Amino acid sequence: MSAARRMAGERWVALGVLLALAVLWQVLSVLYPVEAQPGEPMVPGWQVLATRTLLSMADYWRGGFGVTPVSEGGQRSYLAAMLSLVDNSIDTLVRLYIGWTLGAVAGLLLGLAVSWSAWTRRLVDPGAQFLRTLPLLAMVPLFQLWFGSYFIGKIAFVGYGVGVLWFAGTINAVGNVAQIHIDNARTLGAGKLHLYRTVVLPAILPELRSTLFVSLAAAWGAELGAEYLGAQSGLGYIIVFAQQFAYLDRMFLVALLLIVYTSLGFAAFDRLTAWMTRWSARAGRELPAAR
Amino acid sequence: MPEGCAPVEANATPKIAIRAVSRRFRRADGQTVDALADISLDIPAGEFVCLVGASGCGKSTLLQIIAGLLAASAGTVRVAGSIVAGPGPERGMVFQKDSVFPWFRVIDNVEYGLRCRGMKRAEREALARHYLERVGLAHVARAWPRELSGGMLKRVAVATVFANGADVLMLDEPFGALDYVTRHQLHDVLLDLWEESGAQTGRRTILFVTHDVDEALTLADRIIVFRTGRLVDDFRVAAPRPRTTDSLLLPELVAHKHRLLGHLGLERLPPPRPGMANA
Repeated sequence: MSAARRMAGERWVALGVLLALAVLWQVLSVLYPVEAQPGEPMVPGWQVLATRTLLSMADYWRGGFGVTPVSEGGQRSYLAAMLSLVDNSIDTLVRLYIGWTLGAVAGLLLGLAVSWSAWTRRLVDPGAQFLRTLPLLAMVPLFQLWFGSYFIGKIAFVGYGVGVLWFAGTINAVGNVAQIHIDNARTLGAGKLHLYRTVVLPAILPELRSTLFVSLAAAWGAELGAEYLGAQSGLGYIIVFAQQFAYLDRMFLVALLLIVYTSLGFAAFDRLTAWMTRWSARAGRELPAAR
Repeated sequence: MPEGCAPVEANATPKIAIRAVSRRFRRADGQTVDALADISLDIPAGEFVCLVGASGCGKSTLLQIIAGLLAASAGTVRVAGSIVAGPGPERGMVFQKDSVFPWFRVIDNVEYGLRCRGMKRAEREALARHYLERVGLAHVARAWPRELSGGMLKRVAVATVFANGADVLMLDEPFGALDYVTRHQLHDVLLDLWEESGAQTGRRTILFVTHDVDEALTLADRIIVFRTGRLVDDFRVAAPRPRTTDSLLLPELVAHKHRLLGHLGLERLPPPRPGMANA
């Protein structure tokens, strides 16, 4: 079987699995009609999610584009619901990716600094190693007190959570750069900066792929954690609000949205990093014997 | 220079001057090992020198010291009159393991050193293409290294050091892992490039580490033999070039071969030369 046909087959199987899960959810909603409170099913079916639940998202619309918020006497509408979802999603995604980018860059640079020279190692390593040991979620109240519920606080929190992962991942990856490539570059006349740019950075890329994906997951955790505890907007805020009134259907709808965003984000980064490491024989997803 | 070394031409400043170089390693169990002990050696410019010896005899260590990748525990190495204090582009090296950068395409690998020197793109590309042509890899200039065979990767490494214009080339058992045919093809490539460079700017000085006796006899102007960190023999190979497999049957080369095999412990040792350690 050709690779293209095999990939097409795999896609159909994946789609089939997703459809089967959706059907299973619907069956569960019928078989388990228990309600958390009157009118709020524990397992909301798709007919509930696509109508009442979606419409309820209008409650989180903060106004604009001529659509009056529900809190100011406006009617629930699908337009307000969609605007609300877009608005809150943008808030979450912007905080997430700005925080992630800053954390990744800072962690990478600090990790590289550890290997740059004895002096930079002495300057950076003790402090960064200390910060690594602090449990991320335990730091939420601290960040909240430092920054309040401001935008910068959530970015700093996500950046911190991501940065420590990139710091550790970079140190590990740099330690695994083949000495022969460093020696080769040096005998060909590469200076230190050129060596880092043309040898160390490309060499650590494949190993940093796993750090990248772990840090993306951590960033989502940190972002939602921060929103649970002190945000006035965002998908995490909707979940916390819904939890207070046992609106399980709303929580489920937001969770579905999160699955979509994380899947798209992971797929995009997967493609980007696969292109950046196209020079390496990419590890297959199957065991060689299974091919 | 120890007595018995091949004589350096009168008034000629040696390209490489090694003086009382030793290198001591400390093992994990705390014991020390003398990888090199009091080596002194002069190598004139343009000479093709093979360093021969069994594994662990110190020949690669000496090469790394000359390359500036390893510091000597004692002694000095001068290349073109300057003390070696670190790696430099005037001393190119082809390593035993694959050193080609897998994240650069073949031509970008060959251009690497030229880019370090700030050469203009068109100029360095032309030079890289010339050397790729010379090693028979022009057709894979845009390929990724992972798409190449082991022999082709060695050709890339050879093209890279020649393109970089180093005066001194050090090759550390570069073809040891290759099959017989590929190895012979690469000998031809190497000698062609060496002679070509000679026609233009004077031959480059080559230090070639091997434990293959036939390889040394095919390539070398001069063979230096190491055993347990000591220089035990040093002689010229005056057989005419080009040398073929038939050349290895010349009485002079047969005698050299017996001598080398003796040093490697495969035949009875030849009598020690004056001034040479014969452990």
